[in-house]
Amino acid sequence: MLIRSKAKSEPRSFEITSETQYLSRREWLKKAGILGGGLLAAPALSQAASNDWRDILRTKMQSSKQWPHKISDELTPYEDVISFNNFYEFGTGKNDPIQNSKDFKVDPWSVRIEGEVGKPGRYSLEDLFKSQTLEDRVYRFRCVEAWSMVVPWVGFPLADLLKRFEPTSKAKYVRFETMLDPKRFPAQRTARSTIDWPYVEGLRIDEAMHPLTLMVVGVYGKTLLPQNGAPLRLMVPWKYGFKSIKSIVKIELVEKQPINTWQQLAANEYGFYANVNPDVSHPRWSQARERRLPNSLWNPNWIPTQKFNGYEDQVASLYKGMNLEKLY
Amino acid sequence: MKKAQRIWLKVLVHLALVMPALWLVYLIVSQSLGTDPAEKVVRDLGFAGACILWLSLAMTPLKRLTQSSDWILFRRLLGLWSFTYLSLHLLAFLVFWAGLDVAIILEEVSERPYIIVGLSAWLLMVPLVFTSTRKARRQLGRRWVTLHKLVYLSALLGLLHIFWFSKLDFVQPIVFGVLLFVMFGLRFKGRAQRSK
Repeated sequence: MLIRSKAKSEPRSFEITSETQYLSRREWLKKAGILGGGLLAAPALSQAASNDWRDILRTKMQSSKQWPHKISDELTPYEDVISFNNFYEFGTGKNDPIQNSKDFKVDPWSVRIEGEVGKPGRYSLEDLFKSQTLEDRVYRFRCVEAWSMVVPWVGFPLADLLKRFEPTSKAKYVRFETMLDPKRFPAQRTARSTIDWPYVEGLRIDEAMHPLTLMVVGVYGKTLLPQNGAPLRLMVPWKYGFKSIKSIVKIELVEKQPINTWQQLAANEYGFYANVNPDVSHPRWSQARERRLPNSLWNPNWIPTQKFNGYEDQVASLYKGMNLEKLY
Repeated sequence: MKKAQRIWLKVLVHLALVMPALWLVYLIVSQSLGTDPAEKVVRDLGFAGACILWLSLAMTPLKRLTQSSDWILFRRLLGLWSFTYLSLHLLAFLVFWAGLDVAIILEEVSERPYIIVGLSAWLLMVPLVFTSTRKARRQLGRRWVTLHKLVYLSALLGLLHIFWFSKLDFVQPIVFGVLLFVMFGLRFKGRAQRSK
Protein backbone atom coordinates (compact mmCIF):
# COMPACT_ATOMS: atom_id res chain seq x y z
CA MET A 1 0.00 0.00 0.00
CA LEU A 2 1.23 3.47 -0.72
CA ILE A 3 1.54 5.45 2.46
CA ARG A 4 0.02 8.87 1.96
CA SER A 5 2.51 10.81 4.03
CA LYS A 6 4.24 13.39 1.90
CA ALA A 7 7.18 11.82 0.12
CA LYS A 8 10.40 13.72 -0.62
CA SER A 9 9.80 13.46 -4.33
CA GLU A 10 6.21 14.63 -4.07
CA PRO A 11 5.54 18.17 -5.20
CA ARG A 12 5.14 21.00 -2.81
CA SER A 13 2.49 23.48 -3.88
CA PHE A 14 4.91 25.73 -5.73
CA GLU A 15 6.30 22.78 -7.64
CA ILE A 16 3.10 21.80 -9.33
CA THR A 17 3.42 22.19 -13.04
CA SER A 18 3.23 25.78 -14.07
CA GLU A 19 2.29 26.82 -17.55
CA THR A 20 5.89 27.52 -18.48
CA GLN A 21 6.92 24.08 -17.32
CA TYR A 22 4.10 22.59 -19.30
CA LEU A 23 5.16 24.55 -22.32
CA SER A 24 8.75 23.47 -21.91
CA ARG A 25 7.52 19.90 -21.88
CA ARG A 26 5.69 20.58 -25.13
CA GLU A 27 9.01 21.95 -26.32
CA TRP A 28 10.85 18.67 -25.89
CA LEU A 29 7.94 16.78 -27.31
CA LYS A 30 8.25 18.99 -30.32
CA LYS A 31 11.96 18.36 -30.48
CA ALA A 32 11.27 14.66 -30.24
CA GLY A 33 9.13 15.01 -33.33
CA ILE A 34 5.80 14.21 -31.77
CA LEU A 35 4.02 17.50 -32.18
CA GLY A 36 5.72 19.08 -35.15
CA GLY A 37 3.60 17.01 -37.47
CA GLY A 38 6.42 14.69 -38.51
CA LEU A 39 4.75 11.67 -37.06
CA LEU A 40 1.22 12.92 -37.49
CA ALA A 41 1.84 13.21 -41.19
CA ALA A 42 3.34 9.74 -41.43
CA PRO A 43 0.13 7.70 -41.09
CA ALA A 44 -1.40 9.62 -43.97
CA LEU A 45 1.27 8.19 -46.22
CA SER A 46 0.61 4.56 -45.44
CA GLN A 47 -2.95 3.49 -46.06
CA ALA A 48 -3.67 0.71 -43.59
CA ALA A 49 -1.73 2.48 -40.86
CA SER A 50 -4.65 3.33 -38.62
CA ASN A 51 -4.79 -0.21 -37.24
CA ASP A 52 -1.10 -0.31 -36.48
CA TRP A 53 -0.34 -0.42 -32.76
CA ARG A 54 2.23 2.32 -33.21
CA ASP A 55 -0.33 4.78 -34.50
CA ILE A 56 -2.71 3.97 -31.69
CA LEU A 57 0.16 4.40 -29.26
CA ARG A 58 1.30 7.70 -30.77
CA THR A 59 -2.22 9.05 -30.61
CA LYS A 60 -2.47 7.98 -26.98
CA MET A 61 0.90 9.56 -26.21
CA GLN A 62 -0.37 12.96 -27.27
CA SER A 63 -2.83 12.91 -24.41
CA SER A 64 -0.44 11.36 -21.93
CA LYS A 65 -0.65 12.55 -18.35
CA GLN A 66 2.17 14.43 -16.71
CA TRP A 67 3.24 12.55 -13.60
CA PRO A 68 3.21 14.99 -10.66
CA HIS A 69 6.37 13.71 -8.95
CA LYS A 70 9.09 15.90 -10.35
CA ILE A 71 12.80 15.41 -9.80
CA SER A 72 15.31 18.19 -10.14
CA ASP A 73 17.93 16.07 -11.93
CA GLU A 74 18.83 17.18 -15.42
CA LEU A 75 17.62 14.87 -18.22
CA THR A 76 20.15 12.70 -20.04
CA PRO A 77 19.88 13.71 -23.73
CA TYR A 78 17.96 11.45 -26.09
CA GLU A 79 21.07 10.69 -28.18
CA ASP A 80 22.76 9.18 -25.12
CA VAL A 81 19.66 7.25 -24.04
CA ILE A 82 19.46 5.54 -27.44
CA SER A 83 23.18 4.95 -28.03
CA PHE A 84 24.61 3.82 -24.68
CA ASN A 85 22.84 0.62 -23.69
CA ASN A 86 23.36 -2.70 -22.00
CA PHE A 87 21.23 -5.11 -24.01
CA TYR A 88 23.26 -8.29 -24.35
CA GLU A 89 20.88 -9.79 -26.91
CA PHE A 90 22.53 -7.33 -29.32
CA GLY A 91 26.08 -7.75 -27.95
CA THR A 92 28.02 -6.87 -24.82
CA GLY A 93 29.42 -3.48 -25.91
CA LYS A 94 27.57 -0.30 -24.97
CA ASN A 95 27.25 0.67 -28.64
CA ASP A 96 26.36 -2.82 -29.86
CA PRO A 97 22.61 -2.39 -29.29
CA ILE A 98 22.26 0.69 -31.52
CA GLN A 99 24.53 -0.81 -34.17
CA ASN A 100 23.12 -4.34 -34.23
CA SER A 101 19.45 -3.42 -33.97
CA LYS A 102 19.19 -1.48 -37.21
CA ASP A 103 17.24 -4.24 -38.98
CA PHE A 104 15.25 -5.28 -35.92
CA LYS A 105 11.57 -5.74 -36.74
CA VAL A 106 9.19 -5.54 -33.82
CA ASP A 107 6.22 -7.01 -35.66
CA PRO A 108 4.71 -9.46 -35.12
CA TRP A 109 4.63 -9.11 -31.33
CA SER A 110 2.32 -10.44 -28.64
CA VAL A 111 2.64 -11.05 -24.94
CA ARG A 112 1.66 -14.25 -23.17
CA ILE A 113 0.13 -13.95 -19.73
CA GLU A 114 0.48 -17.21 -17.85
CA GLY A 115 0.44 -18.89 -14.47
CA GLU A 116 -1.63 -17.92 -11.45
CA VAL A 117 -4.14 -15.66 -13.21
CA GLY A 118 -7.82 -15.89 -13.92
CA LYS A 119 -7.45 -14.67 -17.48
CA PRO A 120 -4.38 -16.21 -19.07
CA GLY A 121 -3.80 -15.84 -22.77
CA ARG A 122 -1.92 -14.26 -25.62
CA TYR A 123 -2.51 -10.54 -25.88
CA SER A 124 -1.72 -8.17 -28.71
CA LEU A 125 0.18 -4.99 -27.97
CA GLU A 126 -2.77 -2.69 -28.58
CA ASP A 127 -4.88 -4.88 -26.33
CA LEU A 128 -2.33 -4.38 -23.54
CA PHE A 129 -2.20 -0.60 -23.62
CA LYS A 130 -5.52 0.48 -25.14
CA SER A 131 -7.37 0.78 -21.82
CA GLN A 132 -4.38 2.30 -19.99
CA THR A 133 -3.79 5.97 -19.34
CA LEU A 134 -0.24 6.76 -20.42
CA GLU A 135 1.94 8.82 -18.13
CA ASP A 136 5.16 10.78 -18.68
CA ARG A 137 7.49 9.93 -15.83
CA VAL A 138 11.04 11.11 -15.34
CA TYR A 139 12.99 8.42 -13.47
CA ARG A 140 16.54 8.06 -12.34
CA PHE A 141 18.14 5.01 -13.91
CA ARG A 142 21.04 3.45 -12.00
CA CYS A 143 23.08 0.70 -13.63
CA VAL A 144 24.77 -1.89 -11.41
CA GLU A 145 28.01 -0.86 -13.17
CA ALA A 146 27.91 2.47 -11.28
CA TRP A 147 26.75 4.82 -14.02
CA SER A 148 23.35 6.47 -14.19
CA MET A 149 20.98 8.45 -16.38
CA VAL A 150 17.77 10.43 -15.99
CA VAL A 151 15.14 9.40 -18.51
CA PRO A 152 11.62 10.59 -19.39
CA TRP A 153 9.68 7.38 -19.95
CA VAL A 154 6.14 6.97 -21.20
CA GLY A 155 4.17 4.12 -19.71
CA PHE A 156 1.54 2.90 -17.30
CA PRO A 157 1.70 1.19 -13.90
CA LEU A 158 2.33 -2.56 -14.13
CA ALA A 159 -0.26 -2.95 -11.36
CA ASP A 160 -3.03 -1.66 -13.64
CA LEU A 161 -2.09 -4.25 -16.23
CA LEU A 162 -1.75 -7.18 -13.84
CA LYS A 163 -5.09 -6.52 -12.14
CA ARG A 164 -6.81 -7.00 -15.50
CA PHE A 165 -5.66 -10.62 -15.61
CA GLU A 166 -6.95 -11.33 -12.09
CA PRO A 167 -3.98 -12.78 -10.20
CA THR A 168 -4.93 -15.59 -7.84
CA SER A 169 -3.90 -15.84 -4.19
CA LYS A 170 -1.05 -18.12 -5.26
CA ALA A 171 0.53 -15.34 -7.32
CA LYS A 172 3.49 -14.47 -5.07
CA TYR A 173 5.97 -13.42 -7.75
CA VAL A 174 5.95 -12.15 -11.31
CA ARG A 175 8.34 -13.71 -13.79
CA PHE A 176 9.16 -11.90 -17.06
CA GLU A 177 10.81 -13.16 -20.23
CA THR A 178 12.46 -11.30 -23.09
CA MET A 179 11.85 -12.43 -26.67
CA LEU A 180 13.87 -15.48 -27.67
CA ASP A 181 14.51 -15.14 -31.38
CA PRO A 182 18.04 -15.63 -32.72
CA LYS A 183 16.91 -14.17 -36.03
CA ARG A 184 16.14 -10.86 -34.39
CA PHE A 185 18.75 -10.90 -31.61
CA PRO A 186 22.22 -11.62 -33.05
CA ALA A 187 23.86 -12.48 -29.71
CA GLN A 188 21.31 -15.27 -29.15
CA ARG A 189 22.79 -17.17 -32.09
CA THR A 190 26.50 -16.87 -31.27
CA ALA A 191 28.24 -19.78 -29.63
CA ARG A 192 30.36 -17.46 -27.50
CA SER A 193 27.36 -16.29 -25.51
CA THR A 194 27.38 -17.71 -22.00
CA ILE A 195 23.81 -16.64 -21.25
CA ASP A 196 21.06 -19.24 -21.16
CA TRP A 197 18.50 -17.33 -23.26
CA PRO A 198 15.86 -16.04 -22.94
CA TYR A 199 16.65 -13.30 -20.44
CA VAL A 200 14.54 -13.72 -17.31
CA GLU A 201 13.67 -11.25 -14.58
CA GLY A 202 11.32 -11.32 -11.62
CA LEU A 203 9.65 -9.22 -8.96
CA ARG A 204 7.86 -10.00 -5.74
CA ILE A 205 4.14 -9.38 -6.21
CA ASP A 206 4.13 -6.32 -3.92
CA GLU A 207 7.05 -4.85 -5.85
CA ALA A 208 5.23 -5.52 -9.11
CA MET A 209 2.08 -3.89 -7.77
CA HIS A 210 3.92 -0.83 -6.44
CA PRO A 211 2.77 2.39 -8.15
CA LEU A 212 6.36 3.25 -9.17
CA THR A 213 6.73 0.05 -11.19
CA LEU A 214 6.13 1.07 -14.76
CA MET A 215 5.40 -0.78 -18.00
CA VAL A 216 7.22 1.40 -20.52
CA VAL A 217 6.10 1.86 -24.12
CA GLY A 218 7.95 5.06 -24.96
CA VAL A 219 10.84 7.38 -24.20
CA TYR A 220 11.10 11.12 -24.82
CA GLY A 221 7.57 11.05 -26.21
CA LYS A 222 8.44 8.49 -28.90
CA THR A 223 7.78 4.78 -29.15
CA LEU A 224 10.70 2.71 -27.88
CA LEU A 225 13.60 1.94 -30.19
CA PRO A 226 14.83 -1.67 -30.24
CA GLN A 227 17.96 -0.81 -28.22
CA ASN A 228 15.75 0.53 -25.42
CA GLY A 229 13.61 -2.62 -25.28
CA ALA A 230 10.91 -2.14 -27.91
CA PRO A 231 8.01 -2.55 -27.88
CA LEU A 232 7.41 -3.08 -24.18
CA ARG A 233 9.76 -3.01 -21.21
CA LEU A 234 9.74 -2.77 -17.46
CA MET A 235 11.09 0.11 -15.40
CA VAL A 236 11.67 -0.37 -11.68
CA PRO A 237 13.46 2.85 -10.72
CA TRP A 238 14.66 1.84 -7.25
CA LYS A 239 16.47 -1.25 -8.54
CA TYR A 240 19.62 -1.69 -10.62
CA GLY A 241 18.96 -1.43 -14.34
CA PHE A 242 19.23 -5.14 -15.13
CA LYS A 243 15.94 -5.72 -13.27
CA SER A 244 14.11 -3.56 -15.81
CA ILE A 245 13.74 -6.28 -18.43
CA LYS A 246 13.37 -5.28 -22.09
CA SER A 247 11.32 -6.52 -25.05
CA ILE A 248 8.94 -8.57 -22.93
CA VAL A 249 6.99 -11.48 -24.49
CA LYS A 250 5.90 -13.34 -21.39
CA ILE A 251 4.55 -12.34 -18.00
CA GLU A 252 3.98 -15.24 -15.67
CA LEU A 253 2.52 -15.06 -12.18
CA VAL A 254 4.15 -17.72 -10.06
CA GLU A 255 4.26 -19.05 -6.52
CA LYS A 256 8.04 -19.51 -6.22
CA GLN A 257 10.74 -16.87 -6.48
CA PRO A 258 12.08 -16.92 -10.05
CA ILE A 259 15.80 -17.16 -10.77
CA ASN A 260 16.72 -14.11 -12.80
CA THR A 261 19.39 -14.32 -15.51
CA TRP A 262 22.13 -12.36 -13.72
CA GLN A 263 21.61 -14.29 -10.50
CA GLN A 264 21.97 -17.48 -12.48
CA LEU A 265 25.19 -16.20 -14.09
CA ALA A 266 26.87 -14.92 -10.92
CA ALA A 267 24.82 -15.28 -7.74
CA ASN A 268 27.60 -13.80 -5.60
CA GLU A 269 27.51 -10.57 -7.60
CA TYR A 270 23.86 -10.14 -8.59
CA GLY A 271 20.87 -11.02 -6.46
CA PHE A 272 17.14 -11.29 -6.93
CA TYR A 273 16.27 -8.00 -5.22
CA ALA A 274 19.04 -5.79 -6.68
CA ASN A 275 17.81 -2.72 -4.85
CA VAL A 276 20.07 0.28 -5.38
CA ASN A 277 22.09 0.42 -2.17
CA PRO A 278 25.18 2.58 -1.60
CA ASP A 279 26.02 0.60 1.55
CA VAL A 280 26.36 -2.79 -0.13
CA SER A 281 29.32 -2.99 -2.48
CA HIS A 282 29.45 -5.17 -5.53
CA PRO A 283 32.29 -7.69 -4.94
CA ARG A 284 34.41 -5.89 -7.55
CA TRP A 285 33.43 -2.26 -7.08
CA SER A 286 31.80 0.23 -4.75
CA GLN A 287 28.15 1.22 -5.14
CA ALA A 288 28.55 4.32 -2.96
CA ARG A 289 28.64 6.65 -5.95
CA GLU A 290 27.81 6.77 -9.62
CA ARG A 291 28.89 8.60 -12.75
CA ARG A 292 25.90 10.52 -14.04
CA LEU A 293 25.83 10.40 -17.85
CA PRO A 294 26.61 12.05 -20.08
CA ASN A 295 29.90 13.18 -18.60
CA SER A 296 33.02 14.65 -20.12
CA LEU A 297 36.70 13.81 -20.07
CA TRP A 298 37.47 16.62 -17.64
CA ASN A 299 34.46 15.99 -15.44
CA PRO A 300 33.49 12.39 -14.73
CA ASN A 301 30.40 13.73 -12.94
CA TRP A 302 30.53 11.52 -9.86
CA ILE A 303 27.54 11.89 -7.56
CA PRO A 304 26.68 9.99 -4.39
CA THR A 305 24.28 7.09 -4.91
CA GLN A 306 21.07 7.35 -2.92
CA LYS A 307 19.44 4.50 -1.08
CA PHE A 308 16.78 2.90 -3.28
CA ASN A 309 17.99 5.34 -5.95
CA GLY A 310 16.26 8.21 -4.15
CA TYR A 311 12.89 6.45 -3.88
CA GLU A 312 13.45 5.36 -0.28
CA ASP A 313 10.36 7.16 1.03
CA GLN A 314 8.11 5.29 -1.34
CA VAL A 315 9.60 1.79 -1.28
CA ALA A 316 11.57 1.21 1.93
CA SER A 317 8.45 -0.17 3.65
CA LEU A 318 8.43 -3.08 1.19
CA TYR A 319 11.63 -4.37 2.77
CA LYS A 320 10.94 -3.81 6.44
CA GLY A 321 12.73 -6.37 8.59
CA MET A 322 14.77 -7.74 5.70
CA ASN A 323 18.55 -7.97 5.83
CA LEU A 324 19.38 -6.04 2.67
CA GLU A 325 23.05 -6.89 2.98
CA LYS A 326 22.25 -10.56 2.54
CA LEU A 327 19.32 -10.09 0.19
CA TYR A 328 21.18 -7.79 -2.22
CA MET B 1 69.85 -6.76 -42.58
CA LYS B 2 71.59 -3.63 -43.73
CA LYS B 3 71.82 -0.66 -41.43
CA ALA B 4 69.66 1.57 -43.65
CA GLN B 5 67.00 -1.15 -43.82
CA ARG B 6 67.03 -1.49 -40.06
CA ILE B 7 66.53 2.22 -39.54
CA TRP B 8 63.64 2.37 -42.01
CA LEU B 9 61.98 -0.61 -40.44
CA LYS B 10 62.30 0.90 -36.99
CA VAL B 11 60.84 4.18 -38.19
CA LEU B 12 57.89 2.29 -39.64
CA VAL B 13 57.33 0.38 -36.42
CA HIS B 14 57.44 3.59 -34.38
CA LEU B 15 54.91 5.17 -36.73
CA ALA B 16 52.61 2.18 -36.42
CA LEU B 17 52.84 2.29 -32.64
CA VAL B 18 51.96 5.96 -32.39
CA MET B 19 48.78 5.42 -34.43
CA PRO B 20 46.48 4.25 -31.58
CA ALA B 21 47.39 7.38 -29.60
CA LEU B 22 46.78 9.63 -32.60
CA TRP B 23 43.45 7.93 -33.19
CA LEU B 24 42.41 8.62 -29.60
CA VAL B 25 43.53 12.24 -29.90
CA TYR B 26 41.39 12.50 -33.03
CA LEU B 27 38.38 11.05 -31.17
CA ILE B 28 38.91 13.48 -28.29
CA VAL B 29 39.27 16.52 -30.55
CA SER B 30 36.29 15.59 -32.72
CA GLN B 31 34.28 14.82 -29.56
CA SER B 32 33.25 11.41 -30.86
CA LEU B 33 34.13 9.34 -27.81
CA GLY B 34 30.46 8.79 -26.97
CA THR B 35 28.42 8.99 -23.80
CA ASP B 36 31.09 7.80 -21.37
CA PRO B 37 34.37 9.16 -22.82
CA ALA B 38 36.58 8.45 -19.81
CA GLU B 39 35.72 4.76 -19.78
CA LYS B 40 36.51 4.47 -23.49
CA VAL B 41 39.86 6.28 -23.26
CA VAL B 42 40.96 4.21 -20.25
CA ARG B 43 39.90 0.96 -21.91
CA ASP B 44 41.46 1.69 -25.30
CA LEU B 45 44.78 2.78 -23.81
CA GLY B 46 44.90 -0.36 -21.67
CA PHE B 47 44.06 -2.54 -24.65
CA ALA B 48 46.75 -0.92 -26.82
CA GLY B 49 49.33 -1.24 -24.02
CA ALA B 50 48.53 -4.92 -23.48
CA CYS B 51 48.71 -5.71 -27.21
CA ILE B 52 52.13 -4.05 -27.52
CA LEU B 53 53.41 -5.79 -24.37
CA TRP B 54 52.31 -9.12 -25.83
CA LEU B 55 54.08 -8.24 -29.11
CA SER B 56 57.28 -7.48 -27.20
CA LEU B 57 57.02 -10.87 -25.52
CA ALA B 58 56.59 -12.52 -28.92
CA MET B 59 59.97 -11.35 -30.25
CA THR B 60 62.16 -13.97 -28.58
CA PRO B 61 59.89 -16.93 -29.50
CA LEU B 62 59.71 -15.59 -33.05
CA LYS B 63 63.49 -15.38 -33.18
CA ARG B 64 63.70 -19.07 -32.27
CA LEU B 65 60.94 -20.12 -34.63
CA THR B 66 62.30 -18.29 -37.65
CA GLN B 67 65.97 -18.61 -36.66
CA SER B 68 66.43 -14.96 -37.44
CA SER B 69 67.72 -12.55 -34.82
CA ASP B 70 66.19 -9.52 -36.53
CA TRP B 71 63.14 -9.68 -34.23
CA ILE B 72 65.27 -8.68 -31.26
CA LEU B 73 65.74 -5.25 -32.84
CA PHE B 74 62.18 -4.43 -31.88
CA ARG B 75 61.99 -5.95 -28.42
CA ARG B 76 63.10 -2.91 -26.48
CA LEU B 77 61.11 -0.37 -28.45
CA LEU B 78 57.98 -2.50 -28.11
CA GLY B 79 58.53 -2.79 -24.38
CA LEU B 80 58.99 0.96 -24.01
CA TRP B 81 55.94 1.73 -26.14
CA SER B 82 53.79 -0.65 -24.13
CA PHE B 83 54.98 1.06 -20.95
CA THR B 84 54.08 4.42 -22.49
CA TYR B 85 50.54 3.29 -23.31
CA LEU B 86 50.07 1.62 -19.93
CA SER B 87 51.30 4.78 -18.18
CA LEU B 88 48.77 6.80 -20.17
CA HIS B 89 46.16 4.18 -19.23
CA LEU B 90 46.95 4.76 -15.55
CA LEU B 91 47.02 8.53 -16.01
CA ALA B 92 43.68 8.51 -17.85
CA PHE B 93 42.19 6.46 -15.02
CA LEU B 94 43.40 9.00 -12.45
CA VAL B 95 42.51 12.15 -14.40
CA PHE B 96 39.55 11.34 -16.67
CA TRP B 97 37.89 8.46 -14.87
CA ALA B 98 38.43 9.44 -11.23
CA GLY B 99 38.62 13.21 -11.84
CA LEU B 100 41.80 13.40 -9.69
CA ASP B 101 39.60 13.11 -6.62
CA VAL B 102 41.77 11.51 -3.92
CA ALA B 103 38.79 10.10 -1.99
CA ILE B 104 37.38 8.48 -5.13
CA ILE B 105 40.77 7.12 -6.16
CA LEU B 106 41.43 5.59 -2.74
CA GLU B 107 37.98 4.08 -2.50
CA GLU B 108 37.93 2.72 -6.04
CA VAL B 109 41.41 1.26 -5.63
CA SER B 110 40.40 -0.46 -2.39
CA GLU B 111 37.05 -1.71 -3.74
CA ARG B 112 38.21 -2.79 -7.20
CA PRO B 113 40.84 -5.47 -6.62
CA TYR B 114 41.77 -5.59 -10.29
CA ILE B 115 43.08 -2.03 -10.08
CA ILE B 116 45.67 -3.10 -7.49
CA VAL B 117 46.67 -6.01 -9.69
CA GLY B 118 47.00 -3.74 -12.73
CA LEU B 119 48.96 -1.18 -10.74
CA SER B 120 51.37 -3.90 -9.55
CA ALA B 121 51.88 -5.01 -13.14
CA TRP B 122 52.72 -1.44 -14.11
CA LEU B 123 55.06 -0.91 -11.12
CA LEU B 124 57.01 -4.05 -12.05
CA MET B 125 57.72 -2.50 -15.43
CA VAL B 126 59.29 0.66 -13.94
CA PRO B 127 62.72 -0.85 -13.08
CA LEU B 128 62.78 -2.46 -16.53
CA VAL B 129 62.33 0.92 -18.17
CA PHE B 130 65.15 2.46 -16.12
CA THR B 131 67.50 -0.37 -17.01
CA SER B 132 66.59 -0.50 -20.66
CA THR B 133 69.59 1.45 -21.86
CA ARG B 134 72.62 -0.23 -23.38
CA LYS B 135 74.75 1.23 -20.61
CA ALA B 136 72.60 -0.26 -17.86
CA ARG B 137 72.61 -3.56 -19.61
CA ARG B 138 76.40 -3.58 -19.76
CA GLN B 139 76.74 -2.57 -16.13
CA LEU B 140 74.30 -5.18 -14.86
CA GLY B 141 75.67 -8.02 -16.93
CA ARG B 142 74.03 -11.35 -16.11
CA ARG B 143 71.81 -9.72 -13.50
CA TRP B 144 70.15 -7.72 -16.28
CA VAL B 145 68.68 -10.90 -17.76
CA THR B 146 67.41 -12.02 -14.37
CA LEU B 147 65.90 -8.60 -13.66
CA HIS B 148 64.15 -8.44 -17.01
CA LYS B 149 62.43 -11.73 -16.35
CA LEU B 150 60.11 -9.56 -14.27
CA VAL B 151 58.28 -8.82 -17.50
CA TYR B 152 56.74 -12.32 -17.34
CA LEU B 153 55.32 -11.61 -13.92
CA SER B 154 54.08 -8.24 -15.12
CA ALA B 155 52.31 -9.88 -18.08
CA LEU B 156 50.74 -12.52 -15.81
CA LEU B 157 49.42 -9.81 -13.49
CA GLY B 158 48.18 -7.92 -16.54
CA LEU B 159 46.32 -11.03 -17.65
CA LEU B 160 44.75 -11.39 -14.21
CA HIS B 161 43.75 -7.70 -14.39
CA ILE B 162 42.03 -8.29 -17.76
CA PHE B 163 40.23 -11.42 -16.53
CA TRP B 164 39.09 -9.77 -13.34
CA PHE B 165 37.40 -6.71 -14.79
CA SER B 166 35.73 -8.69 -17.59
CA LYS B 167 32.03 -9.16 -17.17
CA LEU B 168 30.58 -12.17 -18.90
CA ASP B 169 32.38 -11.68 -22.21
CA PHE B 170 35.64 -13.53 -21.71
CA VAL B 171 36.76 -13.77 -25.33
CA GLN B 172 39.37 -11.02 -24.94
CA PRO B 173 41.00 -12.36 -21.76
CA ILE B 174 40.98 -15.90 -23.15
CA VAL B 175 42.75 -14.80 -26.33
CA PHE B 176 45.38 -12.90 -24.31
CA GLY B 177 45.76 -15.89 -21.99
CA VAL B 178 46.21 -18.46 -24.75
CA LEU B 179 48.76 -16.28 -26.55
CA LEU B 180 50.73 -15.72 -23.35
CA PHE B 181 50.90 -19.41 -22.54
CA VAL B 182 51.88 -20.33 -26.09
CA MET B 183 54.71 -17.80 -25.89
CA PHE B 184 55.81 -19.11 -22.49
CA GLY B 185 55.66 -22.63 -23.81
CA LEU B 186 57.90 -21.79 -26.76
CA ARG B 187 60.46 -20.18 -24.49
CA PHE B 188 60.65 -23.15 -22.13
CA LYS B 189 60.80 -25.54 -25.04
CA GLY B 190 63.63 -23.53 -26.54
CA ARG B 191 65.48 -23.54 -23.26
CA ALA B 192 65.01 -27.27 -22.75
CA GLN B 193 66.39 -27.97 -26.22
CA ARG B 194 69.39 -25.74 -25.73
CA SER B 195 70.33 -27.34 -22.42
CA LYS B 196 70.26 -30.85 -23.90
